[in-house]
Formats: sequence, structure tokens, C-alpha cells
Amino acid sequence: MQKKVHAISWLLILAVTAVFAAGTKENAASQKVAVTNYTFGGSSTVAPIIEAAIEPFETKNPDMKVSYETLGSSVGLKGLQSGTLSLAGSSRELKADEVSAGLVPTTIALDGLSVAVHGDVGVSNLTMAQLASLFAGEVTNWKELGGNDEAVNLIVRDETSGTYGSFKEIVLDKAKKEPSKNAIVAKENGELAAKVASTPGSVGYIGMAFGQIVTSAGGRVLTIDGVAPTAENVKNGSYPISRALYLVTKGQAQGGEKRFIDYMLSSDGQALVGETGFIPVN
Amino acid sequence: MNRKTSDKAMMLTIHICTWLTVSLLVLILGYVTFRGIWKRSSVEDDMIPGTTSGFVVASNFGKEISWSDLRRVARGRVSSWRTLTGNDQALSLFIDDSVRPALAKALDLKTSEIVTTEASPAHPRKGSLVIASSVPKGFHLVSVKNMVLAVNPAVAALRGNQQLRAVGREELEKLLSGSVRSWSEVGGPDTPVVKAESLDFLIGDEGAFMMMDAASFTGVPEGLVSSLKVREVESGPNLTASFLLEDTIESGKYGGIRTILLNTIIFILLVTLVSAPLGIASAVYLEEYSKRGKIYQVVSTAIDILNGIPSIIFGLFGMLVFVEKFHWSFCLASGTLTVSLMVLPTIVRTSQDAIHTVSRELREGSFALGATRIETIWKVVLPAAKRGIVTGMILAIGRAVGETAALIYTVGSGAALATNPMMPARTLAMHIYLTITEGQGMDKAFATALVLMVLVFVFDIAANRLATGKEHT
Repeated sequence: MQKKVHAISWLLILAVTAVFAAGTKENAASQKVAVTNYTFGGSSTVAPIIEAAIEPFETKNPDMKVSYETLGSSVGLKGLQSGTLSLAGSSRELKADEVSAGLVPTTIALDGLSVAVHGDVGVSNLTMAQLASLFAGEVTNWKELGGNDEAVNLIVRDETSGTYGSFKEIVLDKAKKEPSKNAIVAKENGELAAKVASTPGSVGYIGMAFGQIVTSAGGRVLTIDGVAPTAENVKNGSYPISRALYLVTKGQAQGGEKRFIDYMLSSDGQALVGETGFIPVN
Repeated sequence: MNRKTSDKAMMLTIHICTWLTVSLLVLILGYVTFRGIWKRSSVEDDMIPGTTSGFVVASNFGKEISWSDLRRVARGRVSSWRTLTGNDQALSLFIDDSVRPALAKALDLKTSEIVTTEASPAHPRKGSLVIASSVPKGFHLVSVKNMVLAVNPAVAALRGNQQLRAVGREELEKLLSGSVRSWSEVGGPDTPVVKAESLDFLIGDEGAFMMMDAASFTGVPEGLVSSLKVREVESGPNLTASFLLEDTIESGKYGGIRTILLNTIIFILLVTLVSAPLGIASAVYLEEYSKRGKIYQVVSTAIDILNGIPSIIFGLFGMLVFVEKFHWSFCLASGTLTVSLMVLPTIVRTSQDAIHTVSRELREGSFALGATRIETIWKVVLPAAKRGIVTGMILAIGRAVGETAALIYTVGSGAALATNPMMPARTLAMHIYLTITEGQGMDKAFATALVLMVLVFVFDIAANRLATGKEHT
């Protein structure tokens, strides 16, 4: 019996001390004002910006507690319409039916799409035309593009992804080609980077800020038409694959959501955009 | 004879299968533990460590800093080590006035752009960074990555779709010692390697390279020289004390997993609190009270079916009911209830089995002594069935703590400590999933996995003690 009491009290003490030891910091701030929880979510590309912004934003707005769910652009926009989320991040433009449902986008950053390859393909650059035929499935061996004798493995994002939408629009639609059906699908930017780094002969596209993950795992980021995906090159328009990142609200932004968007567009918010590897708009 | 050989063959097969299973399990545990403890990654850097003249950088925290980071630090743009080392540690900066001109020159800044600070730390706090003429007592020298591998643009030019962008650390050593004759040996064009002694020579010769300090490299007009990155394999301890004790920052990009670990413990306790009474009560009813009729059959079958349903279906249910219908949004309460429902069938089923094995004589003895039905259940049946019930609880908790599918759309991904049930609460298993999908690196995922494994182990031992405790007293 004693041991039982021992074990239970041990567990309780562990949990309780842990909770209180940790809670002190937050409690001090939250006891003064009523805190409202806000659930934002959507694009996984936008996630690093929002996550970097949450802490400084909450310091300035102690009455708000913000969380961001990484769901993908399309799922996020659906959640916004159904009311699960009050603000959605999107890495693609809104579709006509989403605009007619009353969704309002605000551009908070620009982003380039990096094309990343596994280290063994022996290619450092591709032209836009080569890129289009590669992702249309017309090229099956890196030899054809001046690389090593290695079969091509396409890795793409799922169709609910804003990155998928942007890439298709900028690279494939312009060349009037259909995306290859024979590709490995990754759910998020990080997953795609991990797959590219570990699959021989693979090539995939990711938000510019995620290029570091590929290079740290031994892969490399390509230049397109000889231009590297850097903030400077996206800004001056010389890097061909770029897009805008949005925060979307249902109707005009009000209250806490408006405060958050205003913060993102302020000089502090835009500095964070730059620090997380994206390109500020203001 | 025949029977003997077939017996032997059977025994051999059993042995092989057993050893295969055991070694596979050991391999998995060993691999996760190894990756959790030790990390190894390949890093491409613009610059390599060099010497500084006129000043030294010292610290009681970080060991290495890149030139561009030092530049940001000197301009007063960095207040935390998180972007430098990943640690959630405040950075206090001290710059000695006497080294300001030398520092400005080395960082390609104007003296006025360097922030003014106290000259030296009177009471050095953890996380101090000192830029002075010598290393103060109690501090260590921080190596500054400020040397660029500068090459003639022809070396790094695009050839078809190929381009030399980086060399390995060993290749760099070979370049410096002169044992590489042609750039093609390190993946570049077929031009002879020449070590340049001056900038003019570097610009003039198609195969020239030179180590330059960062300030002089940035001073060269654009297009005249290129640089190559240097690739290095970095290894070191992965799961450190600071990883356990620091808060999670920016979804796991910086800091550690303290808040997530606490969330997981809270989550387990809540799930147990909700599911144990419900599950055990149902098991008692089904075994002790229900007449084995149609309803019993239906309930039993339903429990068996629910037991085999994939957790994502519970996740969908939780999302539609708790998250959307009840408007609780993604939070601890939604996640706890969803997972409690998910583990309920396991608890009912195992508790039922445990109660079933309690012998009839025990019950009848209790009744014969004049105990009521409830007294019998409470004081005789349940204590006798305790081991089985606790085993069921361990299974249930094991499932709950490793659950991600049922939690993705219910519990939320906020990594802060959940101080009330309406806050999102990322658990360790969710953190592993999110770390990989959001691209925060495999190393952090494995470190978290190791912590999760240890946590499950601890719960297992604690629960087993609870179950066997009585025999010892």
C-alpha cells in the first residue's frame, strides 16, 4: 500500500512542480488582462514567419494568445470559411470561389521557389524550359540535362499546397505542360526537403527559406537560368520563380486579426520577414 | 530418427526467429538512442575560421561565430543566442572602446555603426560576449569565421548545367598545400590551380584562388572575384541538458522541448483521468451486472470494432465534434477527449478480461461473509484484478503518448505550456512529426524521440510498481 501511495504522489509531485515552475512566467502577465486565444493556420511556407512573429507580437499585445496550425494553404482557407481558423496563411493566390466566399488577402511577404536536387545528380543549373519538361515527366535521366547517369525522381507537393499551385502556374502552365503523374508526393516543405536529401536522383521545389535544410543534408539548390534564389534576385525580378505570401481573413480584418496583420506590415514585422529568409514587401 | 531431425529443425527455426526479433528490436532502440545522443550533419559555410587583428572575441557561452553574425552583433541587432547557436539564452554584449576602430575595419563598418556598451562585464552573466584586446578571466576565445575562399570568376562559372560552388574541408587543405593540379579534381573546370599572392593576380589568372579576409573580400567591386563555400561535417552531442530545459521557440527552430515535455505529461494525466474511470466502470458493468443477452453482445462487438479502428478516424470525429461543433478549436481539451475515446476500448477490454479471471470462489466467499455486491467489487474483485487493469492502462497510455494521427486535427501545434485546457498543447509525438514536416531537422526529431522513449519507459515502471506494490508490503 505504501508503495502505491509513493508512486502516485511521486507522479503528482512531478507534474505539479513542473507546471508551477513553468507557469510562473506566463501567469504574471496573464493575470492582469483577460487573454483571448486566437487560432490561425494554413500554409506551411508562411508558418516560420508567423511563428517568429508570435512571441514579439504577444509581448506587445498581452491580451492575445496566438497559435498557428500548419495545415497547408487550401486546408487553411477551408478552415477559415468554416470558422475553425480566424486568419489563414496562404502561399498561393485565392481562387475565384474563395474570393466570392468573402475571403480577403493581404500580401505580407514575397518568396522565391528554390529547386533542390540530391547531391549525386551532377547538375547546378537548369533553364526554365528544362525545368518545365523535367516536371512534366519528359526527362527521365539526368544525363539528358548534362548531369550524371542517374534516373530522375520527381518529388512534388500535394495538390492542396500553395507551393504546388504556384509552381504549376509559374513553371508548367507557362510552358503549356501538364505535371507528371509519376512523382513522389510530400506533404510539407520540410518533408520534401528531407525526401530530396535522401532520395538519389531526386529533384523537388520548396520555399526559398527552406533551402538550408537541403544543403545541410548534402543536397543542393539549383540556379535557374544562371540566377540564384536570393532575396535580392527575387526583389529585382531576375529570379523567375517567385510568388507572394498572404494572410487571409473572412471579410475585412477586424479586432485581433487586424492587429496581427498590421503588426506583420509594420517595420518590426517586416524585419522578421527578412530574418526568416523571406522578402519584405514594405 | 525422422522425428528427432524434424524436432531439431523446429528448435533451430524457433531459435533463429527469436534471435532475429530480439536483434531487430535492439537495433531499432540502439539506432534511435544513438541518433538521439549524437548528431552529425554536413554544413556549407561561406567562410572558415581565421585570426582577428587588433581585437579578440571572447565569451562564456558560444564557441564560434560567423563574420556576418558578428557584424549583426556589433551593430546591436542581436539580443539572444538563439540565431547563433540555437539556444534560448540572452546575449549581453561588451565592447571595449579601445578596439572599436580595429573592429570597425574588420567588419567593414563605420565606427559610429558599432553600438556603445559597457566596456567589460563587472559580474559576468551566462551568455556574455566580450570584444576586447584580450580574453578576460573566466572567458574563452571565440573563433571568428572570417576567411573567404576567393577564386577567379572563371573557376565558379556555369559550364552547361554544371558549376563548382563548394569544396570540402579536406579538398581545401589539399588546395592550400598545392597537391591539387586542376580544378576538375574538385568538380570544377579543367584549368590549372594557381595560388594567388595578390588581388591583381587573382583577377588576372583564370585558375587562381586566394584566402581573403571578409572585409577585403566585400571591398572588391562585384563581378571581379567569386567565392567558393566550404563544406564541413559537424558532429557533437545531440540531446543535451539545455535541450531538455529550454522552452520551445518558433515551433522548435530554437530552444529545447521543456514545455512540450510538460504538455505531454499533463496530456497523459488528463487522458488517464478521463478514460480510466469510464473504462473500468464499463468493464465492471459488463462483467458483473449485465445479463449476457443481446445488448451485451452488441456492446461487446462495438468495443471490439472500435478497438481496431485506425486512430485517424477518431481524429476526424474529434475535429468535427470538439473542434468544429463545440467551437473549442484546436486545444488540449479537444485532443484529450479524442484520445480518451480512442483508448477507451482497450481499457474496457483488458479490464474486462482481468475481472473475468477473478475466481468465483473469491466472490462467493465475500458474499458468504455478508458483503454487498458493491463492497465485493470494490474490495475483492478490483484489487484481485488490479494487475490486469494496470497492464491495460499501460497499453492505453502507450498508445496515447505515441499518438499523432488523432491529434493532428484536434490538439493544435502551439508549443507553449498549456496552462488551461482551451490552449493548444503540442505533445512529444506531435513534435517529432511536426519537426520533420516543418523541416527543423532530423537531429531534433531523434533527440525528442529518445526523450519520448524514456518517458514511456518511466511510465511503464511506475505503473508496474503500482500494480505489484501490494505483494511487497
